[in-house]
Amino acid sequence: MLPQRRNFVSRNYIYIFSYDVDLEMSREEIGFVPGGVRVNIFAKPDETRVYHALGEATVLENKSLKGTLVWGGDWALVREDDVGMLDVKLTIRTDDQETIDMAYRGIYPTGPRGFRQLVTEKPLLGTEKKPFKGPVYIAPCFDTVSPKYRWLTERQCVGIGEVTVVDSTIRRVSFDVYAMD
Amino acid sequence: MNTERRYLYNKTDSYLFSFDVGHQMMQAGRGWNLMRPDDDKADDFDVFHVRGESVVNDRETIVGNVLSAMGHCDFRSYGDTARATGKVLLRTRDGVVIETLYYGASRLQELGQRQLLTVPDLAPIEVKLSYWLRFETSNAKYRWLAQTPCVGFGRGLIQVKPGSAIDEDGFPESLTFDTQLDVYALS
Repeated sequence: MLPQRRNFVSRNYIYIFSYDVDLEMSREEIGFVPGGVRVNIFAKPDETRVYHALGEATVLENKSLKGTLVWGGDWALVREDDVGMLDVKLTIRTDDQETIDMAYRGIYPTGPRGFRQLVTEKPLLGTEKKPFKGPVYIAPCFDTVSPKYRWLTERQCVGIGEVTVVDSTIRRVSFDVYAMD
Repeated sequence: MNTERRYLYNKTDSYLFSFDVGHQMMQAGRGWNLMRPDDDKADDFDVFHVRGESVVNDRETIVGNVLSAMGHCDFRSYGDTARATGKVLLRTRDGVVIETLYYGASRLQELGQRQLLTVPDLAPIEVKLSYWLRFETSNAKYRWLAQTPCVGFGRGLIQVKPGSAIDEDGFPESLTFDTQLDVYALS
């Protein structure tokens, strides 16, 4: 039996990379399912850069991640309790031609009555002149056979970002990704 | 192609609560299963606030007990990091049941995976835990937790249970994995 602690476990977030994804206008609308609404959304291929926002060449004594997002999709669920649940898979091709698979679950609060606003379309969330921007949080993990980027597979990461919504449609998502340490 | 940002988004986290669990660790193929033994019930609260504060972010602190815990770790052939998943069932002191689902990484100290083969002379192996957590509950008072993105930073210790038998592959049949996890809300 473990005695109750009076000290914290150490924690640190190490910034790794960022990316900003513009999304395809067409999407697969599955519709109402138990618990919410399902929709599949896809990234515009080969248009998203993966980069280090602070311009540093190394991270955790390894080469910084730079490349292009070649494919990606989100099999999303917008829950009735105003929480969006992300289920995302992406493929990154680095500038030195290595392939990295990235997968994550995530959560974005749509705000009070956000679910109703998204599904009833009255009023639409966000406009071209004043898009709705909200926080979004993800937990990526990585797979790759490349020895150069193996260090990514040994970390659990978190992503903090922003979702941009116009006319109740998600247009863009942006993230900063950190390794948990 | 969109332009690259030269700034980072604001990132903060706020401590919510901790839970400490002792597991039995059993080999399952190339991975390990984790389960809290039935006879390991805490007299004190094993879901608690490290500083003993009763209010966190204008809400009553989550305090209670771990009812059950099960998990699984999978190692790659190289390296000492396992991909971990699991579920922990909590009951608050006001009787509410909250299910915790986690996934993340359990990082053993250097050569930790190889050390598991050195039984019966195994020295305790330190583990660093980094988890993403999601909570589910039907209770209105704690519904905010199900809508909050959470992460857990933790540590663990793998030890051979005294008197453990060794299987034909050289692994001990009874290992213990004691974990300590601090849960933070991201914002």
